[in-house]
Amino acid sequence: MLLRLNFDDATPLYSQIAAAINRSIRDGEIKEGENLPTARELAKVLDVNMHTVLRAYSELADSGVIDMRRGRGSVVREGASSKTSVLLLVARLVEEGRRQGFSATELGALVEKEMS
Amino acid sequence: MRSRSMRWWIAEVSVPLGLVAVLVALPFAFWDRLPESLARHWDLSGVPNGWSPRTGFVVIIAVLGFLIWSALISAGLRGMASKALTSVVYFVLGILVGATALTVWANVDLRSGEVAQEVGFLPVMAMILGGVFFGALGWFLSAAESGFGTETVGDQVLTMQLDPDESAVWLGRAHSVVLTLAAGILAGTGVVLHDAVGAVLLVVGVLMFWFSAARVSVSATGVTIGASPWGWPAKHVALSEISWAESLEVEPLAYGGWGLRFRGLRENKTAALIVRKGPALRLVRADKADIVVTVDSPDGGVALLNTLLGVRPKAATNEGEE
Repeated sequence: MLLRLNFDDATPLYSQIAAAINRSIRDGEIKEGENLPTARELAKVLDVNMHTVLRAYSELADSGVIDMRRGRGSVVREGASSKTSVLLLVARLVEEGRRQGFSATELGALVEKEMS
Repeated sequence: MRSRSMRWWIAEVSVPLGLVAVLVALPFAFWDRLPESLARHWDLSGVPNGWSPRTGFVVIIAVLGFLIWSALISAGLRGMASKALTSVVYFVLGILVGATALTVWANVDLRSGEVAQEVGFLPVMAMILGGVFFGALGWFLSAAESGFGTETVGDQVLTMQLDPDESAVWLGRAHSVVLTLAAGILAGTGVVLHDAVGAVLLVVGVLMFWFSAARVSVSATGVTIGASPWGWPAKHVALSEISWAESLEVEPLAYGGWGLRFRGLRENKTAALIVRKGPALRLVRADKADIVVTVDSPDGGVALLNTLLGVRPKAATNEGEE
């Protein structure tokens, strides 16, 4: 599987890794039901601390993209590819919206306007 | 279910089940002439040192033989049949038949197994040769893919777009269910036999398991290739050593089999880690041997490597050297 990372200092490393995995799932690089590499494996190739990767994995697990099971590793959940893209964009929109002082209602209105 | 050919019924069902039947029939044929307590194990100098009740002995070999055959047939029914697995199963069954025949011979017409015949070097060699004979028989009987053939290489150089502020890594793996299964059979039989031959089977089984999986990772520093599901031991190949990369389809026997393989003495030297037939990645190196490693969907890794190396898409055909 191919992971593309955008190194910018503003975003924490674990979010960048999680984003890269989301992107790979979206691009079909990582298939649903597939096992992610172990945190140790990925940490080694990315040259980062294993806990950084584990944090990225638990963020992915929290957003319902992967299942982390003892003994089975981290598995990409069914339907993850259709979900991640939107979730990721919404998360970005909210983050950027907050930074620019938008309220939830205002953002919602913008989305509705865009979709109509 | 697909209908099976006559050859399949012979190679995967009749002959191995026949061997299991012989395994069980041997002690029954001499049942009344065998002592209640059978010598069933001999030390390295050939003196008996392990005994079993007659009935227990038959039950154990019957269950063992049947389990081994079940592994073969379940692999076959899942479409994972291979000449190698059939051959390994025949080999192990052959060894078991030989061992049972030896046991019967050493115990027959004795009051108690405690004064059983000594088993020397020659009968043990005969037993192993018998195993090898049956292994070869399994190989020729099996209608599964042999693994002989030529390898095919794609005719274009794969690359990818990488933005200036973007970096990428690639991780790949390969795994052979058949090798894992065969390794389990060998190691399991080794543990049950619990003697010198068993120790050899156990070691071979563990080695086979070790080379049933491969791990490959590509990053800006180079390529790391590891054996086993844990990617150990691993070899790191620096980016500077690599001229370009390509993906190909390999046939294990073109490399002399599975595991760590070296091919070519002077020209086209290649070191290979082969766990199965199918997709693989080749690193072409200018001064050292090329490296081939089996890995699923290698194109992403190939494209990333060529991009990191600055290989142009059209530098394809013969030279490939930038």
